[in-house]
Amino acid sequence: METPMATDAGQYQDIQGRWTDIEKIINRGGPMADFVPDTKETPNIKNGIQNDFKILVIGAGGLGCELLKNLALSGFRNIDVIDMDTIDVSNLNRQFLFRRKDVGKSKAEVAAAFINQRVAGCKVTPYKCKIQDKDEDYYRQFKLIIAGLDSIEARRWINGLLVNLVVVDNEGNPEPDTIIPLIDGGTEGFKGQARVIIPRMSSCFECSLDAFPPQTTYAICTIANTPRVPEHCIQWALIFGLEDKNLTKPFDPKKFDNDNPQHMTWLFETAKKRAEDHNINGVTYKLTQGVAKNIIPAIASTNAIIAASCCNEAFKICTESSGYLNNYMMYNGVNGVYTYTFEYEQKEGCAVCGTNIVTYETEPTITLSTFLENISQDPRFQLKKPSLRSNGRNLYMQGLLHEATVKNLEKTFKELNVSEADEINITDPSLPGNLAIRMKIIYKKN
Amino acid sequence: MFRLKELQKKQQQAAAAAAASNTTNGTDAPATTTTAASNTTEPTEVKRQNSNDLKEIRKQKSKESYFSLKSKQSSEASSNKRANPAELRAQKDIDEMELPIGCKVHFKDSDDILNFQLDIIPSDGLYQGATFKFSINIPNTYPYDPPKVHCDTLVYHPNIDLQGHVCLNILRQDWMPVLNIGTVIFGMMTLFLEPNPEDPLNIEAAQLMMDNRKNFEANVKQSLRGGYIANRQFPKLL
Ligand SMILES: [Zn+2]
Repeated sequence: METPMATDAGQYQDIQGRWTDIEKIINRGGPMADFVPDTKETPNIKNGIQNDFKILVIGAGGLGCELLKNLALSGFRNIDVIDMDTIDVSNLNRQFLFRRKDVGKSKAEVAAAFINQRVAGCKVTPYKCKIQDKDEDYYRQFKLIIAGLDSIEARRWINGLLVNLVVVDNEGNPEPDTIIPLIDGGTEGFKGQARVIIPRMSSCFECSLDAFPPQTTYAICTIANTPRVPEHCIQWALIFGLEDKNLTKPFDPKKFDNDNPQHMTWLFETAKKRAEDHNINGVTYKLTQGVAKNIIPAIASTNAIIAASCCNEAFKICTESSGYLNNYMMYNGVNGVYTYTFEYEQKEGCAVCGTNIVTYETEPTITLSTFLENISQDPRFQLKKPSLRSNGRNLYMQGLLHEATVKNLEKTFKELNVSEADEINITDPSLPGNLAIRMKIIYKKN
Repeated sequence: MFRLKELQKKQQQAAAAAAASNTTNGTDAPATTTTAASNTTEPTEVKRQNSNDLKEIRKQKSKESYFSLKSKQSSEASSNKRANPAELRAQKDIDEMELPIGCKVHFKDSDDILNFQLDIIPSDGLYQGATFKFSINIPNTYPYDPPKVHCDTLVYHPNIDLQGHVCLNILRQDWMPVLNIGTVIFGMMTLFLEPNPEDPLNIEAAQLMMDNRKNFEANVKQSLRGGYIANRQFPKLL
């Protein structure tokens, strides 16, 4: 479900001095500024900020509220925001665009309405939906995208999409017009990070996935037998309590839902009982929620610092008024204040940005075995034992699925339902890392 | 720092050079310029592109480079399904996996490579010759998150409880994205060759294994023959 809200900027009066500071930056050249400064006659950059640079903010939570406020006050007027969540009372301490009366309403809609009402001329368009509900054409319209997400899956998805949008020419150079920078902010308690991903030119989110700190998990035998901390009891309720037929539940345990307060209350009471049985203190409703949803307590100031950095980078990239972050800034506020900036290098064999989509011209009448032979002999690919899948289906697999797929070898692409523009994913032991070849099929015209 | 910008300049220079060689006056500005403020030759022209134009250019560029104009119609119709990275990684894992002796993998739906069944038939040790069935699910966050494993055969084992939970360090606290489906299967096999009473899920079995190895072994044998242990009947596997 999506609900774009039309907000007509209409007539408004800029407060005096509204643009003074921004103009100081964009009207003056400098050693770091690689741009043509604006003049009265040619206010290119200002026009850009006010009209052309459309920015997407993903997430209207702790980071999202800060990001929207920062962007609007930096002069950006064309902003979309996507968030599928609704406002919870526990958000109100830091998600400052929301009030008590807003509890239960859409985060995206309330945040957009707040900014539109408060910042004259700014037009934030909210979408209460998942990022996966939008197609490539939707994402293509943005100058850049800022993500303030807490989910690995969502970040992985948007990263993959943006890398995919980049068109690479025959010499391997990406087309600049197809590159949409992604600024990724993230916070965990007192720690945070901001990074700039220039798809196909810098490392991407997938490149660093292996290095991402893993979720805190406990050995299942500890949870089952020797619980020592309240988290063990909560995880026990999640794993064993839910399955235990002797424990009555006011809901279907197969449909356990993190966001349902009734389910959460049951989980809390079950965990509390478990803790009492083992003389453990400290199981609270809040902690139960945190463990079940894998939430680390959010600190308002960390969000503010990280969002400020993200917006700073957005402003520099859009205006070209200064060099942008290359490419990773980590912030640690646990012991004093510490930040460290470094270049996260592109990973050889990254499954997402390590490879290009190659187009391959053939006929629908080609058999899979002939196709395999052709690509195996093609010096561009250097394949040894390729396995092929397309559209979530096996075409031909080595190893375990060889027997199940070997009969496909004599079939033609047409018989295998491989259509024009379909992508064939090829894995092969000779490809480094998690690299796969993504081959787009085009059919010759007779 | 300005890598994107450099790239843009390079392309514009190339385009300008091409334009210069084609036209005699050479004053044409490269047509590909969008929002880059590089138009120094004609300062009077305010080169502005609204976001809809930009969207259109991007759309056309990417479509054109993939498909010829003739085939555009069919390209619009195709679903253009993007492979999910978890699935790509699973494809690679399965493709390169060498199963240890005594392991078999079945796919209920061979196209769904994220869900499959594993049979373990230990070739040695206390559980030799019996078949134990496991369901394995690869989550969408794989390999950030580990595969999910459930034991579908009721078994008397220190590290597997009667509900089918499995205690194996790499399935939870020691999981790392460099591990793969093959390592998990290998780890599962090891559980049957060397049960580990230090990480117990079936506490009684683990305690007995440590206190009285002989009685423990007798219990395992009895369970595999379909006998009762502590009023619970086990399936006949041998
Ligand atoms: Zn990458």
